[in-house]
Amino acid sequence: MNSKLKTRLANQSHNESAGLPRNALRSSAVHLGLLFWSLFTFSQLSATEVSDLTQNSDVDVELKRITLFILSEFERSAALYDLLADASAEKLEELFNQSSNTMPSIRQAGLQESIVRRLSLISPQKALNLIDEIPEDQQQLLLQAVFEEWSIFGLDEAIDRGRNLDHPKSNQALKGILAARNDLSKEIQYAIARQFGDEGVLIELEAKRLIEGTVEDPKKVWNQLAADYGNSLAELSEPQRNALAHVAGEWFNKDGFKAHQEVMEGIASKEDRAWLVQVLLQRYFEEDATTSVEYARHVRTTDREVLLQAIGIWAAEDGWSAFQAAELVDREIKDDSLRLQRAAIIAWAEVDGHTLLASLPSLPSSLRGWGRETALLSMRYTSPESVPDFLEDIKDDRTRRMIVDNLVRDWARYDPLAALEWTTSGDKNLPAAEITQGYTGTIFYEALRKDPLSAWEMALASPTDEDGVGPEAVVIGSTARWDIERAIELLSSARNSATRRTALSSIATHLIEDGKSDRALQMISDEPEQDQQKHFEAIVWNWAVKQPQDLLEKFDSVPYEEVKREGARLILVENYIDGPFMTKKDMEKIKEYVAEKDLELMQHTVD
Amino acid sequence: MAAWAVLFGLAVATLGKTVADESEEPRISANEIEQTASRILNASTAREVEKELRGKGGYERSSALHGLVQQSDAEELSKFFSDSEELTTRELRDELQQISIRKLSLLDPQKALSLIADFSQHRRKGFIELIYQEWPTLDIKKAVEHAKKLSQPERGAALRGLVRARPDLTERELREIGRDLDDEQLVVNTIARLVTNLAVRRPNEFWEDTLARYGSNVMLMSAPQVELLSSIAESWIEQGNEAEAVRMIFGSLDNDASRSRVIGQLLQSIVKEEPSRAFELATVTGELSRRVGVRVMDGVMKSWAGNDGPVAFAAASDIEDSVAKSRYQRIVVLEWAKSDPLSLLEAKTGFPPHLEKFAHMEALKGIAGSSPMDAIEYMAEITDESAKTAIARAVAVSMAGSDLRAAVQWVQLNTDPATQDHQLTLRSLMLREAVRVGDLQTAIEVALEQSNATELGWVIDAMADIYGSERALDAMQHVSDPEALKTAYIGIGNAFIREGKSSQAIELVKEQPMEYQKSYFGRLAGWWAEYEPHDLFEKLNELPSDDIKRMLGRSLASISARQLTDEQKEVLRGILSPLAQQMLD
Repeated sequence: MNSKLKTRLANQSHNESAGLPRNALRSSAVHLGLLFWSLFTFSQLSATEVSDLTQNSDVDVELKRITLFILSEFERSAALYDLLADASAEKLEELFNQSSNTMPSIRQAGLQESIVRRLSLISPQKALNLIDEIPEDQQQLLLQAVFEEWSIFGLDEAIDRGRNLDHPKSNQALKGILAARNDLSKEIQYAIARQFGDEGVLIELEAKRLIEGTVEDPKKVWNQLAADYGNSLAELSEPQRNALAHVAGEWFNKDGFKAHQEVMEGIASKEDRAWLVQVLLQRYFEEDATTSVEYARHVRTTDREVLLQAIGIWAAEDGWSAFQAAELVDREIKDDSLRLQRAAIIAWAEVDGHTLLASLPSLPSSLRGWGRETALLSMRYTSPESVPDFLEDIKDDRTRRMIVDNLVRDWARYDPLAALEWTTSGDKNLPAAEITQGYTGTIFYEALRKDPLSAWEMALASPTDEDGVGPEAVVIGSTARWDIERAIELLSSARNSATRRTALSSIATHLIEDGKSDRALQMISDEPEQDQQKHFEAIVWNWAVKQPQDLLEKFDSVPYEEVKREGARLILVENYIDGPFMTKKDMEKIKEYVAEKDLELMQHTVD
Repeated sequence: MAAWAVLFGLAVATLGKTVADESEEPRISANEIEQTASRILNASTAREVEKELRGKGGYERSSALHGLVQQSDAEELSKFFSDSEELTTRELRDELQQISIRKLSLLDPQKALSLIADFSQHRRKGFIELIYQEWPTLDIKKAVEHAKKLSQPERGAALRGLVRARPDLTERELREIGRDLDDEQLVVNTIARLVTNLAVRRPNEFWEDTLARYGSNVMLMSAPQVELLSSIAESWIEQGNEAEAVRMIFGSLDNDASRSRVIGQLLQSIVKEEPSRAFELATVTGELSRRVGVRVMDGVMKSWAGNDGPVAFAAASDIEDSVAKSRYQRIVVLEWAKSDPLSLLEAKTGFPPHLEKFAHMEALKGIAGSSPMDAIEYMAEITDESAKTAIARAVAVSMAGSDLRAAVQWVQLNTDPATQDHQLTLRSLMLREAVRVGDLQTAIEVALEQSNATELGWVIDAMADIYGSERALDAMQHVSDPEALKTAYIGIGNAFIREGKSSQAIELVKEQPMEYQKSYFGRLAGWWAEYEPHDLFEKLNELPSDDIKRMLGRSLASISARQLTDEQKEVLRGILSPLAQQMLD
């Protein structure tokens, strides 16, 4: 440094700071400054803290001045170094405590780090003791700072102390040691890391150093990293992945996008390729949209699916930016000018349907309706309780019905009680009553699949329908699909005869589907006379459709004319669609129950 | 201090307090630091400064450099900055440049900006942020005016620096500057990040104030904003009367999704250290709204069970409401099975009968993931066939991920019907897993060794799906079996479509008989119509027959009519039957 500077140094005061506002403040003295603190408030976020501090006479006056009146980080650091230069350990501890308890929180971290570093030079253990007293989530950087300082003058001691700390504190200690002692050879650094049983820290540190610098020969570095890291990006740490992305970016900067293909050749999995493309695409988009379009165009020609996935990964993080990028790239594409935008919307909807819905007005009109449906269909998984509020925005009945059907089913899978509450709430966006009633069956079926015991409890606690049938009939009927005996056992717990009758019909239906119609008929015959016809009416459709030949065989044992007529019609339709399996003799058997309009169907026989 | 930490309910792990034998003498005295400063003052080049600073600790370096730079004028700082570019130790170079550019920004910010003009974008952004941490403390108007001329990412860096530099401004004022620079949200996020995780002394006031600024619909907030709200909520409940705090938070938010998000995140922040407390607060939430309570309690029970299954299970079992009890018991079992399946296996005997079977199966699935051989041992105890099959699948996939041949052998030699009856499914899963982990060669070899030659088709299908058409095509040289060829064609055809090469998907089978092609295109139709409707429409005329054209046209009409333009629909009407045309309306 020149002599002019040295002379000035000798003449200037120790605490000089630059800038007019600070000069003015300095001259008005600290006490005046404190009186007028309200003229110079921190933002409303910390105004109350500033108020506390100005009124606290126990706090070091210089520390207050530094905290409240020096805005420039450089000036604040310089003043703080002056304050700390001659401070004893006791004074440093006092300042640290004041910084923790009374300083505006926004200033704490900076003050504490300098104090802790200074104290580490006097007594690292005291510094550790101080850190021990603050909340754990604020300790990490301070721990690292202590070990950075300590390892300069007492490496062995620092290692010894650091590796005896509990994890993750030992990890912070190691980070501090390795960051400060990059003068040591790689071998020694690895040996230190091994003592901590944590070599990953060194690998991450190296990756971070790589990111911060310019890469002279990116191709060579890329190949080296690929050899060191292996070929699965998913298994790497974040700094390692970032290092790879950085080197790839540097390579493109040097050789243009033609290097893209070489980079991608080493990455087998599409998912890994998509991650890398997304990182680079996002970076280009932030820096220069034209470059991002150019890059996307390049990727599209060689790896289009990966480009779609990359847009999806990006949209899952930041839907709107990814969509904007997709829109730019799509403009360049003639064959499907919305493809990337749709990919962005699908991924955006999956993670954040709410912001997608709020952003619909900013989307091209051709994508708004579809975007709304996509958002609501995704929200049935992530936030089903929010979907009903958005249904009235859908003008098309068929679309609304489709969304409600899906919502009810998937909501019931997650929280059947909540789904039931909504479908019975009378919400004006629910479909007509006859359709909504059907949702009860869906909900109890899903509840049963998830947790039979809860489904049963839930059913018993729910009201009956208009016919007096309790939802436990659905539970019993659905149970019969997997476990007939358990379903029969549950029959006796049905709340009333109407429920029991409905449930029994379901069991009989399942027995018939399983080819056990004899048992079904036996169960029905054990029921009161007045109920038997209802049971036959309930089972005939399934019997005819699922086991038409069995019904044909037992046709005469059906005691009701109406049921026989319906059964005959259904068998004929089945025979026509899936057959023929009926003989002329079979036709004779049912002929008297066939309506005139269906006689034509009787021509369809195997003989 | 300790009392303060305890009050905040934060676990304070000991760092040891053996200080009795320590000297109170500084290892590096103020005098030594001054000497360092003096020596670097006498250094005539940046290289000499580097030499002096090498081997010094962070405090000493920074303190000495601040002393040095404090006294320099703009010209000296510029030279110092430029000379530092030649330094060999990057960390030192960065430190020298950062400190000198900070000071220069206070003296001549334009000069500071000119010094970094030729740097890479990455470095330039970093320095712009530093410059804007200093410049706006002197002349915010000029700093903002200049920021308008910067590129978007540089403007972002400038805004971040400016927000840090001027905490004296209100958020409203800072947001106005953000609007002026086209990125108000960045200001909001930067402020949120700056104050998140800091101790807040009056969280209830801060909460109200924050909601007044952000609005009460958390679902439309950015991640840093939500983080900030969760952090304030955390401070709030630390101050006592936490149930009341949760009630206030609940009442202040706009909708159930917002409540679930904030309270869920809040409880996640405490569940690891204090699960019972999180559980109690989730119960309080459930009293306010069952729906929100279910969501936050799900999260609490999952985390709790992942750390301590037995205690979490006991807590779930103490819930009075039988539906809720059963729900959370099952959630605990599922997580417990993932984190410690062996202990779950032991504990299950004390469970209610309806849960015992469920826990048994989940525990074995968990064991299968980490130690498939152990799971095989335990499988013998299971009587339920479907449970056995589910575990066999988990075992097969887990084994195939590390040793495909061993997995295949296990399936072949296993006489249990639950495995034998599902041999084909298991083999398909195993081969796919081997392909997924990158063991392609073994997958091909194993498939070729099998009597069922179609298995190579599965391998190629998986390769096309996971790695793309190119790799899958390379493996086609091994295929001779017609069934394997069919499966492989479908896999590759699908990959071609996803990759935007659908003409190649059509080309792939053009030598095959028409019936074969019909079946092939039938398998491609659904995905093609759903995700690439415009491409499919464009390719209709390239399809090999009218029959196939109609079939794929029908898929378009039934799956993607809403994505087609009126003109496209009109063309389709000319292809489809009257019945199928109805799907276009």
